[in-house]
Amino acid sequence: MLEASQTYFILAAYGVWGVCLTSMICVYLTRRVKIRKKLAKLESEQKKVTRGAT
Amino acid sequence: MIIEQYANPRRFIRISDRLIPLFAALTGLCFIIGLYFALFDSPPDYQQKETVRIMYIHVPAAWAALFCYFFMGICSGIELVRRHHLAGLFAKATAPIGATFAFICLVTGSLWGKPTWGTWWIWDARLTSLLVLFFLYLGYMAVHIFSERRDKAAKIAGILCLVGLIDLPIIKFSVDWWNTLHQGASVLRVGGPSIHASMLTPLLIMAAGCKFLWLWLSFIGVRSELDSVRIDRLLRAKIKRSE
Repeated sequence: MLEASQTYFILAAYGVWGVCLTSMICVYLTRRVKIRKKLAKLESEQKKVTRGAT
Repeated sequence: MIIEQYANPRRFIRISDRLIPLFAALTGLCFIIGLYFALFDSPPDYQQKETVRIMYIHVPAAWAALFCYFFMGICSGIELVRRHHLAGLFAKATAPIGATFAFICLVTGSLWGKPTWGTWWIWDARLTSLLVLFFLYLGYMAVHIFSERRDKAAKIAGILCLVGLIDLPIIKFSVDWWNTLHQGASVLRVGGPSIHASMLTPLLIMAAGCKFLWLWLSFIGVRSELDSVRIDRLLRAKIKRSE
C-alpha cells in the first residue's frame, strides 16, 4: 500500500520533471519557428531588391 | 579529419534535416517505455519503498547535466583551438539543456532527500558541487546573453566553460573523497552496477531518453543559431542599402 506522503513526493518530482522538460522543448521549438519566419521575411525582401537591381 | 568534415554548416544542415525528426521520435519512445517501467513495472525498494521511483528521473538528469557540460567543454576547446564556429554553436545550444537537467536534478534530489534523509537540503559535497555546476551553466549563458559581440562572447564563455570542467571530477568522486550523506556510485563504478536489472533497465532507458532529448534540442538550437547569424547578415545589408 502506497503511503500518502510518498505519493506526494513522487508526484511532485515527476511534475517538476515534466514541466521543466516540456517548457524546454517549447522554448526551443518556439524560438526555431520565430527565427525561421524572420529569416523567410528578410530573404524575400532581399530577393525583391536583387530582382529590382537587375 | 572527421571534425573538418562536419564543421561545414551546409553539410550540418543537410544532415540535421534527417536527424532532428529521428531524435524527436527516439526521445518520445524512450520516455514512454522508460516511464512505464519506472512507474508501473519496477519493484519498490526494501528500505525507501515507493520513493525510489524518483531515482528514474533524478539520476538520468544528473548524468545528462554532467554529460552536457563535458560536451560543452570539448566543443569550447575545439572552438578556441581549431576555430570551428559550429562547435561553439553546439556548446551554446547545449547550455540551457544542461542547466535544465541540473535544475531537475537539484529539485528532484531535494524531493527525494526529504523522505529518505529527513531534510530537503544539506551542504554535502555532492549536492554543493552540483549546485556549483548549475551556477556555471547560468554564468555561461549570462556571458552569451549580455555580451554585445558574438565572437567575444564565445571566447569568454569558452574559457569559463573550460575552467568549470574542474567541477566534473569533483562531482563524480565527491562521494569517495569526502564523508557525505549522498550514497556512493551504484551504476558507473568499478566492479559493475550494484543495482538489480529490474531497476537498472528503466534507469538506462530514461538516461537514453535524456541523451536523445539533448541531441534533438541541441540540433534545433544550432539550426536556430545558424539562421540568426544569417538574419544578422541580412539586417546589416538592409541597413547599408538604406544609408
